[in-house]
Formats: sequence, structure tokens, C-alpha cells
Amino acid sequence: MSRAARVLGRSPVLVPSRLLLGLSLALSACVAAPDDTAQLSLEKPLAQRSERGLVEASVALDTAELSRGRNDFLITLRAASASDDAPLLTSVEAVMAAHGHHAGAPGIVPDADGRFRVEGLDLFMSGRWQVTLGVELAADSDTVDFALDVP
Amino acid sequence: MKLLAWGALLATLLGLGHARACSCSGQGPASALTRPDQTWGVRLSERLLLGYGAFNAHGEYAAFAPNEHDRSVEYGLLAAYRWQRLELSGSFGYSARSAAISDQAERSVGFGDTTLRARYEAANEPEPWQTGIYPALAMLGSVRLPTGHATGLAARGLGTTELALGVVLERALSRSFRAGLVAEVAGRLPDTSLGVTRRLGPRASVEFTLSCFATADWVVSALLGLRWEGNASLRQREQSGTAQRTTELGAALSWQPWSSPFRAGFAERYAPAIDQLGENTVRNVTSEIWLGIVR
Repeated sequence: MSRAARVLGRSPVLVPSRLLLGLSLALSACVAAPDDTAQLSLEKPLAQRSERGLVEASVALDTAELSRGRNDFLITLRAASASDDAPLLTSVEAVMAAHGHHAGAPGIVPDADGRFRVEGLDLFMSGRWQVTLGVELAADSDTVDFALDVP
Repeated sequence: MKLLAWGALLATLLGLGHARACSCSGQGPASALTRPDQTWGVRLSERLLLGYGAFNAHGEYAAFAPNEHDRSVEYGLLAAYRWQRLELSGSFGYSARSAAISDQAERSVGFGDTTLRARYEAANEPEPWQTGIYPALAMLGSVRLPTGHATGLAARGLGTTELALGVVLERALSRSFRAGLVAEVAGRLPDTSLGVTRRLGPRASVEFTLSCFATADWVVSALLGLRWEGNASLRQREQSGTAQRTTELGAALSWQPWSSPFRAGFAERYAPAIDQLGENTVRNVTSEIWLGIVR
């Protein structure tokens, strides 16, 4: 048995394979699924305050469950201050930070009382998408951010 | 019996001592293109990447639908200059990528990222008349510059500058076999390629290679590669679940004669479609052919 084997107390042939196995397990442990993403459904909307605190948003799926591909959302916006007018949803953007992917909603249909229907947001790849809603108030603007884990 | 088998294997791999002299260089991305007795080298390569599916954030693999694809053809130029134990090199790419996923489709053609690398051969393994089991050691330092288009479905680059450090350990196991281990870590600078401040996570990779010197000129290699990238950040906020992992198996055949300045090789890499072997990545099969000249 070689000196390395004696030092390590095992066969030198096994050293690289055990090293790789250990490294593989270590790398597996370093990768975790999203733990702060919204679990959306039609019955279970997400309540989220905007970045600057000007708007309260409620985001719900318009389908049974989130899926890879086109998704529709129902969004309700309410100004945090009673004196402000109803906020306007101006944009819906989604990005996958690690891959450089970007998606925008082709249709935003306003309904009554600060409600909006977002149609066809194409979350085309599985994984975490960071969604940003652009919101306009009478004299100000804000954004609402939330994350989705597309299966 | 098991002990005898292991003893025979050890005798084969270690007992015979040293690999036959070879004109070996350029067997992988971490190898030197030039030998110590050469001054410069140029290598042209064509690489074809075919995507067959993707691993999600939970490590679950799903094959592409019939109308989906992700294909790239990359042409690479690697130019290297050696000064004693130090090899400086630059690699430049030009590629075409076509991707169609879900209802999205995109095609892009143009330059890829540019990588500048320094490789320093710090220590040689023992000569045949010396004792010792230590491997040859080389150190790597590289800068990857974002010269390729980096957003959208058919991105050809990283979108930011990457700084990497690595080590290469190589050791002859017998007259015909040689093992190599390449480990590299890299950090990425913040960028705004998505329109907001983004920082890609750090990268770590390790690749194990076992090469067989079938003849004085021909080398066959098998490889196992693992690659990990940490969570990306967007607007200074870490995005949990964006870390990536890739596991690849591969083989390479290279022709590296002593008597000629020409080099050639073919490599095939395969990412198995097995859950948990990948995460947040497209599963590719990669084929590469290259031609080189060294002086």
C-alpha cells in the first residue's frame, strides 16, 4: 500500500471517488428550493405591501394552479392612505435573475374598484420568477414585488 | 478475494509507476494548450449544445415538449502563449443559439463571452527515478468578460464579469493511465443587464478526468464534472431557490503527436436525466470537435 493510502487509511483508488461523492453531497446540500415564494391560488391570494408602502396589493391566480407557460392573475390595489385616489396598475414584469429571462404581461384589463386582470403572463421556464407590479398613484409611483416558484 | 482484486488494481495503477512519455496537452478546458518546450498555440473548436429538458428548483427533471428546443452552435478561438511555466491564453467565441420554450421563441447570433486566463505550472509530479506520490500542480486564474448578449431566451453570455481561481492536480497512475482533478471557484461582479441591479451567485466546479494513453499519439479520456452556482441577488436581495447544479459525464478522444505540431480532438458530454443531478439548469448533450497547432 502506498504512503498516501497509509496516511489516509484507505485505498488511493477510493480517495477520488469518495472525494467526489462527498463533494456532490455537499453541493446538493448547498442548493435549496425557494423558501420565500408565494403559494398562489384563486382561493388563496397573496397580500403584499408595495416597496414604499403607498399601496396594498392582493394577487390571486385566475386558474386552479400556477403552471409553466401562460398564467392569468387577478390583482386588487388599494391606496394605503384613504386620501389617495385608486392606484393604477401600469406594468407587470417577471424576471429569472439567474438566467437573464424576462417576461411581460401582454394584457392588463382594468375592472372596477382597483381590480385588474392580468392576462397571459408567460412564465415559460420552471423555477423562481421575481414579479414586479408597476403602480401609479395620482402624484406618485411605486412597485409591488413578490416571487413565484413555477413547477 | 476482494482484497486480492483491490491489490491487483493498485498494482496496475500505482505499481508500474509512471506514464509513458506523451505529447499531452489540451485535453480539457483546464489543460494547457502548449507543452513546456513550446511557445505558442492556437486552437479552433466547434461546439454543439442540444438541450433536451430542464431541472427545476426542486431538482426534478422534465423533458422538453415536442415543440420546445434549445440549440447552440459555438465556434471558439483559443490562442495561447507560453513563457516557461506560465501559459497566458485568450478564448473568443462566436455562436448561434435558437431556443423555443413554452410560447416563447428566440434566435440570436453573435459574439460570446471572452475569457483571459493564466495557468502556472507550480510543481511537476516525480520523475521516473524519483520516489513520491504527489501530483503535478497547476494554478489557474481567469477573467471572463461579458462580450456576449446575455438576456432573453437565447442568451450567449453571462452578462457580467467573472473572476475565477482554480487548481489542477494531475498524476500518472501507471504507464497508460493518468488522473486529473480540476477545482475552480469564481465570483461575479454586480451587473444591470436585466435593467435592475443583479448579482449572480458564486460558482464552484470540480472535474475528475481519467485518461488512457492508448498509443503515443492517441489519448482517450473519461470525465465526471460537477458544477454549482449560488443564489443570485436582485436589487440587493438574495433570490432563494435560484442556485444551479449540473452533473456531467463525458468522454474525449484526442490526437496529440510528438512528431507534428497539429492537434485534434473530439469530446462528448452528457448530463443524465436523473432527478437531483441538476437544479435550475437545462440538460444538455454537448459535442465538441477541435483542431489546433502548437509551436
